[in-house]
Amino acid sequence: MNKLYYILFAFVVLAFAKAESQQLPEPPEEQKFYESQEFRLLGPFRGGRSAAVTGVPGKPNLFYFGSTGGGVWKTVDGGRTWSNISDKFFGGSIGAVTVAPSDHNVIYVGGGEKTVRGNVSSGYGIWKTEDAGKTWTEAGLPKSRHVPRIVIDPNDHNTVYAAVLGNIYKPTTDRGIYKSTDGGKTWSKKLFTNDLAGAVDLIIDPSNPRVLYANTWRLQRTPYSLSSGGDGSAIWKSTDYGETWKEISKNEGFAKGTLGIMGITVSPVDSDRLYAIVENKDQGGLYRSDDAGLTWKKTNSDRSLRQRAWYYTRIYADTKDVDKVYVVNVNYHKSTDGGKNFSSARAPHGDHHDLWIAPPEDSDRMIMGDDGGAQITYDGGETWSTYHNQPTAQYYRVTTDNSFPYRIYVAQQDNGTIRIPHRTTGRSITDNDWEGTAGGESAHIAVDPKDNDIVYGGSYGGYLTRYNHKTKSQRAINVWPDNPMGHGAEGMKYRFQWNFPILFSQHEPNKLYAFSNNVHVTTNEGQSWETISPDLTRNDPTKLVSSGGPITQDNTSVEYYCTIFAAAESPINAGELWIGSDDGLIHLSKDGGKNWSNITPKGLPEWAQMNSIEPSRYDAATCYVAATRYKLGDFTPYLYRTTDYGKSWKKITDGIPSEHFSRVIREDDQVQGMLYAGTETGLYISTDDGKSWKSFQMNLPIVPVTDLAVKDNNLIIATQGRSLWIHDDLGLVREAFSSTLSRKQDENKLFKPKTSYRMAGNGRAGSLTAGANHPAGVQVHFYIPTLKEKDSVSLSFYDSKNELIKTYATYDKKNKLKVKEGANSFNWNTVYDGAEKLPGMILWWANMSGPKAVPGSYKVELSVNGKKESQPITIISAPNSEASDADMLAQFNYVNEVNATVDKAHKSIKNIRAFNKKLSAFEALYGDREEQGVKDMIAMSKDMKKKFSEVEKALYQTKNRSGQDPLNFPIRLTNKLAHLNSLAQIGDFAPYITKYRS
Amino acid sequence: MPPTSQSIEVKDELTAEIEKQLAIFDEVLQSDIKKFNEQFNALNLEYLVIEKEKK
Repeated sequence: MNKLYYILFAFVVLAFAKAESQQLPEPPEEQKFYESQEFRLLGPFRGGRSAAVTGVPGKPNLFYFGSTGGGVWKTVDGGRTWSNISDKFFGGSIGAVTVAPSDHNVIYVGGGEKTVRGNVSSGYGIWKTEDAGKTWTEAGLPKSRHVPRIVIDPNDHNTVYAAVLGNIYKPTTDRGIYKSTDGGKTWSKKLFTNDLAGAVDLIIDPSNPRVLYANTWRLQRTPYSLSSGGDGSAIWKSTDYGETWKEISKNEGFAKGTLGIMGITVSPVDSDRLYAIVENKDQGGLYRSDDAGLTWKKTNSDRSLRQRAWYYTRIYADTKDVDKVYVVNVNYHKSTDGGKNFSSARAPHGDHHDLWIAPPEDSDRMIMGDDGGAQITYDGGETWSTYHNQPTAQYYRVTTDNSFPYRIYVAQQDNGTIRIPHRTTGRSITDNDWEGTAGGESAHIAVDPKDNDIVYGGSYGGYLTRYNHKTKSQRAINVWPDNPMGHGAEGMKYRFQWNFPILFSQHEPNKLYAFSNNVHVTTNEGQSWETISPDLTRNDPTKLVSSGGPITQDNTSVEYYCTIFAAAESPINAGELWIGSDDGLIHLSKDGGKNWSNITPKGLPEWAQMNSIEPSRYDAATCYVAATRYKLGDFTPYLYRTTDYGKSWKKITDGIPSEHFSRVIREDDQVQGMLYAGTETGLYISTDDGKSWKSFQMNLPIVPVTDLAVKDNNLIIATQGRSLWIHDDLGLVREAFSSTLSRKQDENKLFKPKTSYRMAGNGRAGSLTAGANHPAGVQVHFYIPTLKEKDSVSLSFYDSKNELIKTYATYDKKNKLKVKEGANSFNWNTVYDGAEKLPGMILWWANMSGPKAVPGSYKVELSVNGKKESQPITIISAPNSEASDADMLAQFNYVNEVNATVDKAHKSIKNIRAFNKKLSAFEALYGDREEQGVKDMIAMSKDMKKKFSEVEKALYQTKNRSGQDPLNFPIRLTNKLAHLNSLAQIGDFAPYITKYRS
Repeated sequence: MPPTSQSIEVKDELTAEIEKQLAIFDEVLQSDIKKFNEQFNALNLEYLVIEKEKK
């Protein structure tokens, strides 16, 4: 009885323990004022890693993939476009996506990737949909952390098995193979080896659902090591629906000695045919069994199939041919002779992690998950879809330059560095808008303060380059160019971390810093470096060792420890350097590096990684630090503040959930005490100098926030799995939090619009292939606490002489203002009224819209049922504009003059047509009268109609009926004149492309 | 950018041509329509009549 209770209790805990780690706190009340300004996805659409992909039998264009940071994605057009289907429910790193074979509406998703590289993120348990991704519910195992595989019984979608790798940073009994028979409501653990070895692979025999195979793997990550393999790594088989398991990796013919990660597959054509890929020192390779695992035979030991085993090691039997098998690695490899020989190929990105092969009638249809995302083939890998349509990039650090529009610089994991403008004059932000820049995939980037085109970027192995965008010339300027690849950190002269920081002094524009375990500085663009500090880390030799574990070594510098990981110079005082190490120390120099003092917060637990450091721009003694111990299995946020140069520190994390570990903290550039914090799971804001934090998530997906930058009223957000996001108007947020507003929060409120640039740009959001651009015009935000159906709401825009330019209103059909209760936004395009176009008129490339407002002062007035309030508007010309204000005024007047003539002419045509109608009616009525007077009038009528017709035909081509008719029937005067407007407004407006096709 | 010289020239030309046409239209308004209305009134014609059924 007691035992039964115990088991029931365990079930309940597993099923209903909240996935607390993902719960976002309620947003602050003030959000109701500012939520009309959402975060904007900048892109780029160059995908990041995926290790979980699937197609759907019988649905050739339908596929899903899980991103390792950005949730679950779906395509219904064979990979031409992808949509996220998990936002608003969950997000983060995904390890498994499995469609139920018996009901394709049912999909289970496991959180937490299998690709446990340096920037690995954990997941948030199992989620389930029963409507093909429209809605999701939690389906248990909230503490699973990493779920690399889920399999579902082919006959029953409620019977489901999960391979749980568990917490990869510390021992836990949460690992193993779990089974649920009630669709994820309750789970029970069916296989457990030891508290350091979790389950990494799991397959079900499609021909016989009683039979399952699972691989367990001893895997541990620390801040300074990765260890793959050892006791607990094994292959297991169940023949009773996963209830009991027997090890089959000790069977005859299998690799002897220490085992590491392994992949397993069973042929859907022949239940006896198994293939396994095995990490093992002397006997690693591909093993085959022809008797369902009873005996094994090694068929191939090519290292390219099993190099860097911990990162790859997955194997897939073809659905049609028993002798065809795929192994994924840097390349993917295909055998057609039962695993003896392999040919190699690459999907578009390379570094492959997961593969799904369609059923036998369609086995050339596959989807691949790799370090660039997901790609689809319909011809067995001859051609693949693109990964440049997935905004799932993983970025490390963000910086900006001072160009206009300013650019954002980031390094993309397993890709390269880019710089991208935060807004453009185009319709959206596309691949054409960004370009590569200095450094490599793991870079910190620093832009020369004197020249936006001279950029410095780091990468792993101590690589550091200077790139000149003007000349496209590049130069390597490594601080100490002794390449460390394959070596542990022991005995290095300088330890350069995978993500070693670099930065320019804010006070001495020639001074570029680079950081190993020491501080290095150059004042001659990297020609020579000087080391200006002692080792500012704990320099613990026990943590400076080769990484990889008992079988395979793997030293890329991502595990290099006891290094400087975060650094900044005071924005106020030159030479005040704040330096944080990845092993728990903070040092301060007040004299440019001559003297250093250890100012590590006393309360901070040991070995915390100082992930970002932010000396205040308002007070030189104040500094903020974001630290984390997640690689020690401690997911607590650690944010600290000092106001006395580090003599004392205060922990400032109130309001941030217990497992949203902190990655970055930044200070607002206008308001002292206003702070932004990026965590593993969410974005937070504080208006009281960190005493309390509130959720600042809004439409931001659940994704690790790796870095933040505050620039020109914007907040730029670098993510690990969802590319770049930007908040375009922090002024609105600041005003929403201001005390004057909160006192009268139930009144209508018109916010002061931010200063607008007169420039082009289309603000369309929601593209599946390009980033959203900042819209042209003036963004007006207003708040309506309550709204009744009959309420009249309008926005009117006035010039500096208080003359009305235009009104948009809820009651105006032509100039409609859409209003909802709460926060509203309206984008005023600043376009004046233009010339009238008559119904049905066909014109060739003619523009009748009014001119755009010229730089100057304007006013917006909000009226709600007659109650009015107004705010000033400032429009300035873009700093890079070639036109002077006088030029713009000339254009403005020109466009108005053209429109005045066109308008007059079109109104005359309208009158002509009305007269013609009446004259025709007259002729019909009186045409058969005999009186001479009436006969004269009929003649006059005909004469007038003739004159009218001549005028109308001179003004307008009346024969035109369809868009390209003007090529047949030449355009007339008003068209020609209005075309001048099209030309005149090029430069401020995009050309009217629809009329310009020929 | 300001309008180019030629765009101003072409605008002036086209505007003049349009104005010429509009002048013709104005002329019709000023004289023909006026005469027409005067005669309509002189002949005591009815503005509103029941339309004859079409055969």
